[in-house]
Amino acid sequence: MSKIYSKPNFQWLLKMAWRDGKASLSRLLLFMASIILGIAAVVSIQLFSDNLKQNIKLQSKALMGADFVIDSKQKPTEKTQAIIDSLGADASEVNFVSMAAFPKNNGTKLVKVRAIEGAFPFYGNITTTPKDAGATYQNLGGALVDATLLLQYKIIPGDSIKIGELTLPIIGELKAIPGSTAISSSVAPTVLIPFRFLDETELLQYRK
Amino acid sequence: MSNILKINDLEKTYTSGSKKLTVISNITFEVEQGSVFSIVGPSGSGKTTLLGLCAGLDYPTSGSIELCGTALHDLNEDERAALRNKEVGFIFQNFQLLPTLTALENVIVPLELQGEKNASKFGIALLEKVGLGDRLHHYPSQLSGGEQQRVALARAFSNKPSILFADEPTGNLDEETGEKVIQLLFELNKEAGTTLVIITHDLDLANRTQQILRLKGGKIISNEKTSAI
Repeated sequence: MSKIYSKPNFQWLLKMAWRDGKASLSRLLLFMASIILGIAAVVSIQLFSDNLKQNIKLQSKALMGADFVIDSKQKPTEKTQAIIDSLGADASEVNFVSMAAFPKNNGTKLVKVRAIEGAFPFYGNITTTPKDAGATYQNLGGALVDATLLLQYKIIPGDSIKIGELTLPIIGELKAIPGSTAISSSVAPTVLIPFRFLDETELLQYRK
Repeated sequence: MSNILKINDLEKTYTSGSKKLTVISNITFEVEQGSVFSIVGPSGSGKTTLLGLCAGLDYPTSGSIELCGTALHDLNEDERAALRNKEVGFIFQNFQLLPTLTALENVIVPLELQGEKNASKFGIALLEKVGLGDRLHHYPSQLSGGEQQRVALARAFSNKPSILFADEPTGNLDEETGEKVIQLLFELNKEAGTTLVIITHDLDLANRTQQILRLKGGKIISNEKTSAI
């Protein structure tokens, strides 16, 4: 038999879609708005995720303060130390939690002591008041104490802090340092001391 | 006069698991071109099944159907659709209008499918003929039952069919509205010279047709010409 009509063309399909759509315009708008919102939500989440990953990637060095960190809860063995040395580690740190005292007013507080040797941090800065205290505390042989802790105990730079058997002058207020989080600082505020004074605290003991 | 519809020894059986249900069997009849033909019978007698088979909407289990000179069993689904679009019109008890299209759009869709360029003009003329010239842009939900059936009438005649199948066209209408719709149907049919096949419960309506086929239990119990002209 002869072909008496052709399949509907695209233009006719569009016309039918428009006819269907205008019959319930409000529902169509709601439907389209739902699709738009859905896509926007998916794109936003994806974008947020990508931005977060990108920022972490960009700031990871500054957050850690170094290219890599080797962390151990024990004193490294000779073999381990040799491996660490072969990697060319430029700074070292011993940190622990201890009670600290302020002789000025006999205040005591649980603090996190970070004894640092070398030019740490390699990325980012130690933020202090006065501004240059982060660069000078090693040479001046003093401590940098968490700013909130100083405020809490009404201590000012120039006063002293006693950690174990060691008493050091406070060189400045410590506001931020790579490797410390706000949560850990709220429990045990950070106190930075030069590594060379660590033994004098007599707080460090190794297993035999 | 030639026959537009020839049915020969038609049978339709539905199979459900191991059970077989024969809905119609031994159906043989012919419909003359231009005549008004009615099929009557109680509910479940197979009237609607027969109409579906005659119009090429369904496939018989056995037997043959020749519609407008074309044997339906030789056609695939696309060819059947093409034949229906060109030669067949339908009117249903529940109107079957597309709810998202206006009255005019419902009427012109078959014409647009045929590629008719003046579809709108022709559709408006048809709707004016059925007395709905002022309801062109109303949706089916904004029309009464009688008005919806009149739109269905206009749509049925829009593609100038050779044969029109009407399945209980007044079944959903009150008596007065139903009578108006039937008068309109007969008028349009006379004007267009279309063959009309009506399925109905209404014996008064059947008596106004030229031939009555009576069905019972899926079989023909009589096939008589009437005195109606």
